[in-house]
Amino acid sequence: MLRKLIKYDYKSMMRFWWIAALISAALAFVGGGSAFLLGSEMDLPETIEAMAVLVLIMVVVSFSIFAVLSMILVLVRFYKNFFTDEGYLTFTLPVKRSQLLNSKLLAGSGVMLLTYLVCAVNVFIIFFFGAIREIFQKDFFEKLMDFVREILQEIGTFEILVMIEALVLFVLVILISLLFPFCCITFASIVAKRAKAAAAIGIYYGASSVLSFILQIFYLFGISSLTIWLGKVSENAVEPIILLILLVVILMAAIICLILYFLQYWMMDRKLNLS
Amino acid sequence: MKKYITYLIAMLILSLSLCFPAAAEKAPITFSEDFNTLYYQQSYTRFDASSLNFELQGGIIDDPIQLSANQQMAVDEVELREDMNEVIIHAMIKYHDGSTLYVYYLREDYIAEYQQLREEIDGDYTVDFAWPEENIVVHGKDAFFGKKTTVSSDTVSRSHCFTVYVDSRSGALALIKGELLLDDGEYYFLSYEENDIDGSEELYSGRYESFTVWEITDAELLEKLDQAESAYYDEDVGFLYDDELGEVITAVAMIFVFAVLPFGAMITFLVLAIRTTKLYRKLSVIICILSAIEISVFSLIAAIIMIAQ
Repeated sequence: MLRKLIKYDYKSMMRFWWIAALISAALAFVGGGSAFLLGSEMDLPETIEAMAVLVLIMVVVSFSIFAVLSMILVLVRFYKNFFTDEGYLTFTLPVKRSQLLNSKLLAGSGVMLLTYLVCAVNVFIIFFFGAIREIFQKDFFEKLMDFVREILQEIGTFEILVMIEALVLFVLVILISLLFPFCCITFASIVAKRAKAAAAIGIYYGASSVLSFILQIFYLFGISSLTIWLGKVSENAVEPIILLILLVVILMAAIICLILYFLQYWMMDRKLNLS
Repeated sequence: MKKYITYLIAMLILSLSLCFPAAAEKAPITFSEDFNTLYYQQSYTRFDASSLNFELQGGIIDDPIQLSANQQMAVDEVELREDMNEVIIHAMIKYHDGSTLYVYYLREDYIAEYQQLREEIDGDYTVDFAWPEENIVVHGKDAFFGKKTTVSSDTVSRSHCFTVYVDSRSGALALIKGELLLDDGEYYFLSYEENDIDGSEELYSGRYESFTVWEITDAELLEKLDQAESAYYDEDVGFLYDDELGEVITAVAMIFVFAVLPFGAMITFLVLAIRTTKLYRKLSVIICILSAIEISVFSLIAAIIMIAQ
């Protein structure tokens, strides 16, 4: 049953997503054209150069807009499926509340991962066109293979472990980035009698501002202090400590993720009055 | 009334004309036909700037450049930048055919000083740690040539390197003599001359497998280098707070976020695990376990860092 839920959630989220993805890819080619012009040895008039730079900046901004639109599609699906007239149907389905929540999470995570993949491909398209002259030179592939070989030689156990931890953290961050607005939307639906969507946006914005403020303080003080502290540790211990720090961050992210899931489930189960 | 208005207008025009200073016409910058000489308020001669330690200013010289008719036929654009001491000018000369020529010019009154610098054998060496500002060590040359040994290029790549140079008489010019390598607490001096390399580009070019270096054993020099190194690593990069206060705030914040909050979560969800059932209990148990692991790992990191301090 969970698979069917995921399937329909996915279909609903993808209905407009693929249009945005196509537009984003088309813009990537436009950006690639600008990068090609800027990277060329042609003596371009300054106006054309300035326009090419402007186009490139706007294309990169459009990728961020595409990512935000994807998130909005996921959240709209969550809101409509649970808190509008559709919700009455949803909660009468013969499935557990946790399965309903899990399907939104899994489908939403899938959409966000696809979005980041499309953005990565788009950035690659821009770099490809920017470097196309070098690519078609005779010794390009030789230089590329040499470069790849050098990178592979540098990769040891520490680098592999860091990459694994970074990947796990990335997945957890995607889950938190979905669960946090889910909680805000559900909380708004409980406390607000009217304009639930607006209340949800307000609660999300307020909570995000508080979190950003705390993170800014951490960034302001934490980075320099950490640098000083790690500088006094013996060189052999630096890599294991970095791995442990990443592990602590992963564990914290997992705890936050689970607490948000717990909260979300509890609000859906006990507070929504939909049984 | 008309008289007063006339006087007012006359005064306005007079004051405006006095306010606008006569724009002093700047003398244009000129080159000799072969680009070996440049004239910019003084004469500058083309010279070999390799191995000189200097920094160019960020902006280009915006004085007008006057090229001869022949030069204009070949040259598309010329960009000039001065060094911080205003004795060296870097010229980027772009030709119509797409090629670019990079030339360095030295002020003529510094040529003798430059030649003396190149010929100098016994001057004091200066090590520039670059951070914080003015973090330099000056010492006699002989102390840098301690115990001769060899290091691999991998060692050079992973070492912290600091430029070693000799200042000219006035301090306006500096000739790079090599690099001070800091590898796992040991100091080595790598001389460009003794290794027959041109500069740091060759050092990291990958063409050399090993380099001849001298391990620094002079106690006085080592003490100076240790002090400079401590200043380099200990200088805080924060901008709003005193060292100790910032570290205390960070430590308190980290303990609160990574120890107190997870501990609170662990206790809360332990209670919930006892009092709830089904999915709530499963989630509560997992949160408790993760919190316990997180607090342990954080404590381990904190212990290692505290021991190192």
